[in-house]
Amino acid sequence: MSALDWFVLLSTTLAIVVFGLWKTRSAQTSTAEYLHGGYRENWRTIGLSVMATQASAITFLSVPGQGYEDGMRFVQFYFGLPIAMVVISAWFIPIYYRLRVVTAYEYLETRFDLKTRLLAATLFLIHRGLATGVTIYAPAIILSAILGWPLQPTVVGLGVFITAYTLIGGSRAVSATQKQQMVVMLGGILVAAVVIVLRLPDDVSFSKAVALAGVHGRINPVSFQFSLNDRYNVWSGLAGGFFLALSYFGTDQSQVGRYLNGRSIGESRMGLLFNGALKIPMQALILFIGVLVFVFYQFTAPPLLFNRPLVAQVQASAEAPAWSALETRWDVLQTQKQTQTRQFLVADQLSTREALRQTEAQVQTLRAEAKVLAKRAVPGAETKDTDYVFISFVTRWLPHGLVGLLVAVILAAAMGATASELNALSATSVVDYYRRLVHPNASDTATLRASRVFTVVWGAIAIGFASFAALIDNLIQAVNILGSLFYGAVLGIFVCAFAFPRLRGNAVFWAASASQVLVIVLYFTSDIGFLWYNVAGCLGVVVGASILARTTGQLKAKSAA
Amino acid sequence: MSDEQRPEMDDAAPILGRWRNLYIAELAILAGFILIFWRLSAAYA
Repeated sequence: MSALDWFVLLSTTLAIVVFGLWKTRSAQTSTAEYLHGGYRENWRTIGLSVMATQASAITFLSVPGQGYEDGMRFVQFYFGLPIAMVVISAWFIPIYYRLRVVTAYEYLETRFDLKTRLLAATLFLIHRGLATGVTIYAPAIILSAILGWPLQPTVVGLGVFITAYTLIGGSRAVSATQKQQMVVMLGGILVAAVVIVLRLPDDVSFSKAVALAGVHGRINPVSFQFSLNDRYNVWSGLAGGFFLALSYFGTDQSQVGRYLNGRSIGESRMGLLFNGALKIPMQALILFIGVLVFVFYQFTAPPLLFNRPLVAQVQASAEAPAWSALETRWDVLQTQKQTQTRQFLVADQLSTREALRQTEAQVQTLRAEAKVLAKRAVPGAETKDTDYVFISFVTRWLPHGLVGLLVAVILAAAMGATASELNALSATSVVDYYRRLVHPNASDTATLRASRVFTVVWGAIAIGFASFAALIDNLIQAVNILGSLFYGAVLGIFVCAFAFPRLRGNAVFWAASASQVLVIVLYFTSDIGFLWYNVAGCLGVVVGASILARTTGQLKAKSAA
Repeated sequence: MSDEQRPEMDDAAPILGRWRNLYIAELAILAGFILIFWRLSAAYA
């Protein structure tokens, strides 16, 4: 990075951190401020905080890569989200507010019993603890790739920095700084989109660029074809995406904690609806940036593999001559592709389209060969390079200053998402375990101290897991698959609580335990798209608890319900 | 204190009069996005 990039990166990040520290003056002294910010946020802060919590560095690292490789169809994953926002606003929020809970799981003891509350809290802690590791790992890849730092120390350094920031700031500072982080993020991606368009050859208009992306199947945001094995279509997006979003925003403490910081029900509802309206266009824009990078590389030769550190290892191995031969073939193929692309722009005909598609198929075959070779040269290396596509483009082709801004965007996203997650992990550990089981009469000072200790402990666990995240092939899918494995059962518990007043704790607890096992078995033994795990897990709890309650005579009497 | 007396229980819809109207607007926005994306997919299929 140039001096200008460093200036932009450091000044942006420092401004956010200093603002956060200034905001934390009162948060140092009370548990209420540390865990839930004192219930005083307005809907704009809530909306941006909810968005910043979901938009981790992975969003800016992995999603453009998905757009590059697979087009825009990933956007369908978010179609269920606005529906979930409506359901949570209408049903979940009034109940949480009426009981004035700090964590969502507190409600489950009021409604069912202690063991059901602890089951849901435990499932949250397991999966969120692991997912936080991935959200720390993602920006570490970028810093490591750009600055040439070794990956493991970068993971640890970044994890310690974000944990310290959360520890000092608490919930209120997390919410306050997330506003600035979202502004930096949205501004950064808009600027990136404009610059990529300007980087296209002078004679390639925007509409021609989109047409070219269409020929290569990248303008594919909607598919109505139903298939259980297809990860992204309208139906899996609406049904699976709805269940996933309902679980994530309705029962995951990292999100519940954000909107329960509101000063009233109305502020929390508006914050969620604001998120529901903005999320789809924001994700579509980020995917479209990946598509534009793909178009850019139709006129300029991309690297054979985007993971530069891996390429350097291959070139230093015994497979170097074979790699060099592949690169020669790659250069020939790229020249041929550029010529055909020019022919297509002059004459958009069936024959020019077909020629382009055939060459693209050869490009993909050659990349597959390169991955096999890389695997042979560096046994155990991960060769899927989707997560490196965008960062490789940024560092190679964006002007000085903008590289620093985009790294600041990614760092801001990492700080916002990870701080929320650590805060939620700490809140759940304190409220649902420490204050419930260990020290029910703990003083405010003791509880605050415990909250900080748990923040550090979860930070350490996340850093530990982040050290293994290199084994994951696509980060955003990994996080969503991890969530889908656990969310269904937790959502099922909440659906039973809200919608089935005659069900009791025992039936729900055992049905949720069995359903969780069922989802894990499905993951290891079937090929169904991961979004359907949310549906299966939730329905498993509802149907299982209903059958169990009826067969064991544990249904509440109608009058008691 | 009853729910009505607690300030945090204030749930007046800030725009469009009622929450139901806001919910319909949210779903209409979703339908609009799906429609636009469907037209885009069809145009470049």
